[in-house]
Amino acid sequence: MLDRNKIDPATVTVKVDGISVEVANGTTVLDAIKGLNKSVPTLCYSDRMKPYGACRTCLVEVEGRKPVAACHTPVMDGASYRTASPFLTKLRRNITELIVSDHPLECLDCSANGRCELQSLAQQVGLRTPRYESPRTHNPPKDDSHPFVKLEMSKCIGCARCVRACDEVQGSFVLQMSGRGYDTKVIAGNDTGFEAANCVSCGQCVFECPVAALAEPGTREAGLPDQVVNTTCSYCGVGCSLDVKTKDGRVVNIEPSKRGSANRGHTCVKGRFAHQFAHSDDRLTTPLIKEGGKFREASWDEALDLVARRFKEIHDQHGPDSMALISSSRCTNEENYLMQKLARAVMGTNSIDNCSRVCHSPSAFALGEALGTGAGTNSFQDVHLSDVLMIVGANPTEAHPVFGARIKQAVLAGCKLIVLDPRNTELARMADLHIPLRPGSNVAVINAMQHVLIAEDLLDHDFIARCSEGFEEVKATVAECTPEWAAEIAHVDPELIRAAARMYAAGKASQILWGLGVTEAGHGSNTAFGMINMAVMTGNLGRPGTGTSPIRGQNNVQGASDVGALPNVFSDYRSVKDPVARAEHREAWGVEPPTNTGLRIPDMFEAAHEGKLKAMYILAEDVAQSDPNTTFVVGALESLDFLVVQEIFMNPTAELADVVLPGTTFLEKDGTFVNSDRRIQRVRRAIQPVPGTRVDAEIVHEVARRMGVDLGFAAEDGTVDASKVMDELARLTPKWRGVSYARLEAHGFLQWPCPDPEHPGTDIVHRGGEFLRGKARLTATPWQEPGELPDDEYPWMLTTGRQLFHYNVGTMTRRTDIVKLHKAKEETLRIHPGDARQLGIHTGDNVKVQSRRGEVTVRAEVTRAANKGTVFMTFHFPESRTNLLIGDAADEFTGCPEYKVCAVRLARVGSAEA
Amino acid sequence: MYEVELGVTLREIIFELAGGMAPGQTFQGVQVGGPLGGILPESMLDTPLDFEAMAAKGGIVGHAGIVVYSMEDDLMKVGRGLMHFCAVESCGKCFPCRIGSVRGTELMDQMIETGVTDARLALLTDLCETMKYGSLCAMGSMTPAPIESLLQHFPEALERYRRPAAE
Ligand code: SF4
Ligand code: SF4
Ligand code: SF4
Ligand code: SF4
Ligand code: FES
Repeated sequence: MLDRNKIDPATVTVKVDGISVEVANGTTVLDAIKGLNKSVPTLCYSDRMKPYGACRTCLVEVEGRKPVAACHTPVMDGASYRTASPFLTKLRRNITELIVSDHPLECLDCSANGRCELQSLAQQVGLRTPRYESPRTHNPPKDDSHPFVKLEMSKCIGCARCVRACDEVQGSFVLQMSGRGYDTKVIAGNDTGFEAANCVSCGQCVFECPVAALAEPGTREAGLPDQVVNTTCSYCGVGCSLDVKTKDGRVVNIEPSKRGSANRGHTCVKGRFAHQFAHSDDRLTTPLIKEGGKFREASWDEALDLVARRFKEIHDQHGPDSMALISSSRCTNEENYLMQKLARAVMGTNSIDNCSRVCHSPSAFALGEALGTGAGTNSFQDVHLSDVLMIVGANPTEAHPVFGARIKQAVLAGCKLIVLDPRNTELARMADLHIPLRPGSNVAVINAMQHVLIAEDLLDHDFIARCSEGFEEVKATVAECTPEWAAEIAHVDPELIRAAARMYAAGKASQILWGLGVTEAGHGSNTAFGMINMAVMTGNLGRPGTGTSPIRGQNNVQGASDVGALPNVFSDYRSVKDPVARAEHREAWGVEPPTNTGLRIPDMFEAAHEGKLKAMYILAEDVAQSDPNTTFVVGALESLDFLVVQEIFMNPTAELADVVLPGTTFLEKDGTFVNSDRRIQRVRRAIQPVPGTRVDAEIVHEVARRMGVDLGFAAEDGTVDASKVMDELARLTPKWRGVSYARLEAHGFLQWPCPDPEHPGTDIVHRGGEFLRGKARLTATPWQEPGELPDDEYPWMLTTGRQLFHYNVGTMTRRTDIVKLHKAKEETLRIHPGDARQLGIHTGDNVKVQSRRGEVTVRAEVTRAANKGTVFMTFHFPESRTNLLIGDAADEFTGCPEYKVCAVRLARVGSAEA
Repeated sequence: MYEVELGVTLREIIFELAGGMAPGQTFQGVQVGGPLGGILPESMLDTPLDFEAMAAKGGIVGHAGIVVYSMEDDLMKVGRGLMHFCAVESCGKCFPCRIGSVRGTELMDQMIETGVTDARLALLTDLCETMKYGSLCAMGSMTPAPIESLLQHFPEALERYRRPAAE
């Protein structure tokens, strides 16, 4: 018999500098060394990529053998390694001497000075001037054409870290090592430059470059930072951990944190480079009060007194429910908690909501109802453990780039990929199966997939029986939903639907991820329910690599909802009617919280139009621009008696305010965000609030104080201690009871549920099929037409979304260097070549896009990224006002609007030259 | 092309099988196994051609091609040619081979053109050691072998180029 353990033992014992250590077989010598808290020099090694073994500076001695390169040599059972000796130092010095012999020695004038790995290696091994006489060197010219990557290839040491970073971390395959021998060099594309090679400007190559061959513009001029602050990105729900480098109180640059749990030392272009908005000249820096239709500057005291007085008056005159608050998923958990406490404990209303209403409320609702937690079930790292991924209505490589990059790596490593999306997204192009379904037909296709699972008996009967309820009902509902039936509705091949269902069911660990293409496409809750059904029916929950998880849009959209900035629940999604939750809040707050369900965002606008809502307090949400049906929203805000907007920049919503309060960016405050996989992470102040502005938590606290209630977290000088807010929040939130700043400091992050201070946090919810609500609920989801359908008059479907380089309405990104990128310059209407031909439209033509509600004119971009019959626009560019077009149809359960489905007609109104 | 048994000495092969040196030529050294093999002097001709014995003398069997150099060959230039061979063949991945082979070629050119000095010899010795222990594959790690054998067995081939340190 073959004894595998003998041939291939699980662990081996080696000696490092005389210390015996047992490590897993296959461990590299370098990892064994690091495990002992020792180190050896490295240059080409990076723990974010596979070892490469090129620079040879990590050589170690092996007793009885030639030296080996530690980074890529697996340990040998019984071997004895030495990490330092005069011989090794000499070898390392002589290698360094060779490197430096083809390197301009201009350290003082170099952007890497003081942070250069070659420089510190030279110091470490004691290299002075190289002995080689007049060596032939490489001196290609500098290249400053890329806005974020400065090339000084005369300094390149040929370590290929940039190439490997682009391949193995970012997955864009822009760079390569070309040529051979001494003439090996790094090229972009076929030496055709970054742009042509579709560089996404993530900056990872710059981050990895050990020298200044690839450098970030501006770092040379700034010199070394005087402070590095670790914080969490405020753009998307990936929650990348960032190191903010500042000097003299200003941000010099931002780099990915190597210890970041969500991003593992990676970022996208936004988190990395789009930070200049914080120092932008047009920040709001003084409170503004509107008088006679015009804003005038006011002192903080005056503005806050006015806000408190008017809120009190309206409260006394019209009752608590004449007031409503919109909190912000851009702001911290602590600020959101304070906003809902202000609403409930001070104003006495449950009318508080946040923008997850317009994005992922259906996801939270369906997950909560069916499984018992309003959040995704598994963690980012699970994509590396899945063998089938199904991605529905999400474009993570653009909207959640760092997670998208990980999905790409998983697929490149062999994971099967199914994509349901009307667009030819990057992942759709990589997919094993792409179902290019018509916008609005998600439920039909998901129902048909369930039909196939049942009809072909691809079920996990044991899991269904043991862990779920409601199967018979679902079975009855989808009985008629054949692939042929769904194919009619979705305009796709029925065999594709069959194949996708089979592929999903065949996976040992299949995972479903979805995005706004589910929740903003009408009947979003039912689509989410359907996908959860699929996972339950095939037993794909509660294990690594399985699960059903929405990819959440904004940085803290999860957190804003988790902490109770919602009209029907306290934090932890506990109903405002739940007696236990009420008692806990009563005790903590000292007041009786209101009982009636408050207004959701769309209802608020409705109520304003009806005259029932008199006052609103909007925190950092540009609803006048980002909400659907812009005209209706603007009308609602105009009809209010009193509107307070707290913002960092003047925007269309703030224009309508009676009082504008200048808040701060994430760079100026302390707090926490919750990312898409329930990861609570710290936000830390990197720069002082810009003069004239105040931290948002403080402002909310002040408003409450002036209304006569001390929320209880402010020091003498009015500053709010965010950690104290967290303590109260954690006390009132059963699934967060183990969360505190001290623990976050120690662990870096905690994933809720984390019910007690000993609890390590939860990477996978519902482990072993033990659902938080007991049994998983299978939910019947009968098919309904979307609220919006094309007809002869409006024959095209418009769907909206994001592009990589911008973020939402662009308030932040458009004030940064991102605009230097050619691709980020203007809005376009993306249209399939076939459709374009039919309409006589060419790239660059002006096209009038008309929906049943409004019209806008944009330039066309003819591209195969759009599917036939469906055109695409983003909402990043205020001047194109995409949302003027969108209707007010909404999800029946949550009121989430149908951004993704809009019937339009198209007409060319001017040529490319016009 | 000869087929011989392992263990036959180099002397037998060169002087008996192959018929010895051409008229007027005197034996200087022999390189077995291709450009990465060490060059052995007259005193080592009784080495049997097998793997262990060759390795013990700093040579290799390699592809067992045998190149004999006569006294008319300038081993310094031969050595330079072998370094250059490495520079041409280097894949360019690892640093010692990619850069070292070019520096080695330059260094030997400099020795040929402006003379051997102690400093240059020390640098060449260091370079050989760096490539030998540092390179990723056999290409770079074996290139120093013939150069090292030159330094060891044929000092006169280098001394011809010796210049006083002052120059
Ligand atoms: S890259 Fe490093 S070694 Fe080279 S000049 Fe700059 S600081 Fe000096
Ligand atoms: S910036 Fe990112 S995408 Fe562009 S070349 Fe560098 S690693 Fe690749
Ligand atoms: S550009 Fe930088 S990272 Fe890329 S090979 Fe050169 S030195 Fe290495
Ligand atoms: S925008 Fe998202 S992916 Fe990009 S750096 Fe920020 S958190 Fe990461
Ligand atoms: S770090 Fe090991 S070879 Fe470069």
